[in-house]
Amino acid sequence: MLFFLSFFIKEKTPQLEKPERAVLIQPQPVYTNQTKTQAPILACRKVKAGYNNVSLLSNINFDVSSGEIHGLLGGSGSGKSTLLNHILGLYPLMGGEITLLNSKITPESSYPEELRKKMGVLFQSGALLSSLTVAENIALPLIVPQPDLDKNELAQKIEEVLNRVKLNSASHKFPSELSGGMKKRAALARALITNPSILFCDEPSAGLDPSTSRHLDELFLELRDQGKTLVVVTHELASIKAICNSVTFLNAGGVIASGPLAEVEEHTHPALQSFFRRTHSYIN
Amino acid sequence: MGGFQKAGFFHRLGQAGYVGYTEALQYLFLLTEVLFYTVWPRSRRGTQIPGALGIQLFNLGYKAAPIVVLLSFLIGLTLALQSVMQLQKFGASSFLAAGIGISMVSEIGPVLTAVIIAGRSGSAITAEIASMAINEEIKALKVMGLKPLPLLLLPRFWALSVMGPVLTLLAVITGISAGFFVSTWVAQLSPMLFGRELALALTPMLILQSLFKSIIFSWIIVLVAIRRGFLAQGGALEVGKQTTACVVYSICGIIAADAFLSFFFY
Repeated sequence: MLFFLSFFIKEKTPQLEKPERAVLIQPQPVYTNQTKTQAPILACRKVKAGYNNVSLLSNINFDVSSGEIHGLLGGSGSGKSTLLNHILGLYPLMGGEITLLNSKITPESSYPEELRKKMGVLFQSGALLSSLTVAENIALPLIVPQPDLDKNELAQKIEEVLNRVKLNSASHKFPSELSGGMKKRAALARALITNPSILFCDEPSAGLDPSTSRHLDELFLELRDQGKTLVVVTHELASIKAICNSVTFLNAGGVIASGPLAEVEEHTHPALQSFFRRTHSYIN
Repeated sequence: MGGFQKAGFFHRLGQAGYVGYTEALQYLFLLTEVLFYTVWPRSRRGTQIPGALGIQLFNLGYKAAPIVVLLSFLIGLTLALQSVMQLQKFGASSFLAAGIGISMVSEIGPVLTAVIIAGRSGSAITAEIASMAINEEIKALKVMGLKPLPLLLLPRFWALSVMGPVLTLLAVITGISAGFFVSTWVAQLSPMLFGRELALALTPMLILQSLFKSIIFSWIIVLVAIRRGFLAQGGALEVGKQTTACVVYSICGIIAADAFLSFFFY
């Protein structure tokens, strides 16, 4: 009975006109003075991702060029963090292929562990180990794989990254003694200590006041100017416009558009329009 | 119209048996992980934070000592008082030393200490790791190329393997001291007699069995605590849920292992 009723309701509910999906705007080489390498530093092809055999994202295609800041955009629950978790190898791919720093990641292959040394990750919560001080947290990616690392060299490296994120005064503090913005900067310092080629940031502005958020954006721009590639998962419009060279917009389990920010902003898809113009939420 | 049928008794029994079987396999897996990373030094790269073992020895052992001493003294005192009242009726007060000594060494010392460790340190380990899991700290360790399981498990496992027997020994000595206090001040027995009876009752084998028990109990506590911590996902509610499960499962495991070992040593 309920089944027939639900069928009836489905039939009678007016449907929003479904726009064309997965429009891939070819990303252009962009914005810094550096010469770009032709091969993208990160390329997703027909990626299918999800948890526990439930697919949440399918046919995900986009490229990230070296030396740019690429935004992974979308509303809450659009699968941005899910995609990031799969790129980072925290969950196995369900289909497709990811090429990251010339290493291929497929559902059949195990995640290339050597990739971890070449990438840094800034988690939404900072994810600093609460039992360690800021300096110890920052030292962790170096000291655990190389316990015999020279202490002076390590101290120098820690000081350098703390200088970079302007957090020298907090090196001996515990994470619980830091503000939200300081935690993010400490986590950024930890991500930078291994001098990664690519940096992934999950919702870096979440929970920060506009001024702290702006300060973090400036740090990202500095890093880009130093030649780093950044992939930033966010839905903070001000931050996107301030830092992103190119973006990929996710909605309803797929990519709506991918390419330079200016072009994606002009895309006619209602989800994109509602996102960039902050109008009524588009429900798919 | 079809509906869900309530699972029958045997269906639920089978399910429970299967869950128990898979859980047992998981604990076996954790134990093999410990042995693997301990025995094969090359595998340890990326699994050790310098100084972590010392911190765990301090947290799980030194900090637990006062509560172990206090509770074992009170238990020893109560046990001795209850025993001496009954023994005096038969003029057998001199057996107090043997009674207290054997019960403290073979049962109360290891079991009481293990229950205290499960409640204090086991719950703390689970709460810490569960919080790390929900705050993305475990994910952060993974993406840094570190191995979270051995990194968190190994120092706690070996710290508790050392401190479990040490705390048990401390509990036994304190409990027997309480018995000595009762025998000399309440039952008016000579200290020499207490000492002689105690020495006759406590064989080296009994003490070794007690220490062996305490090592097994420590392993149960640390494996349950680590497994429960890693199972946490979602929000803060999960930390409480897994911590409760850790204490309940640990105490059940300790009592079951004690029963099994009692048969084994009989």
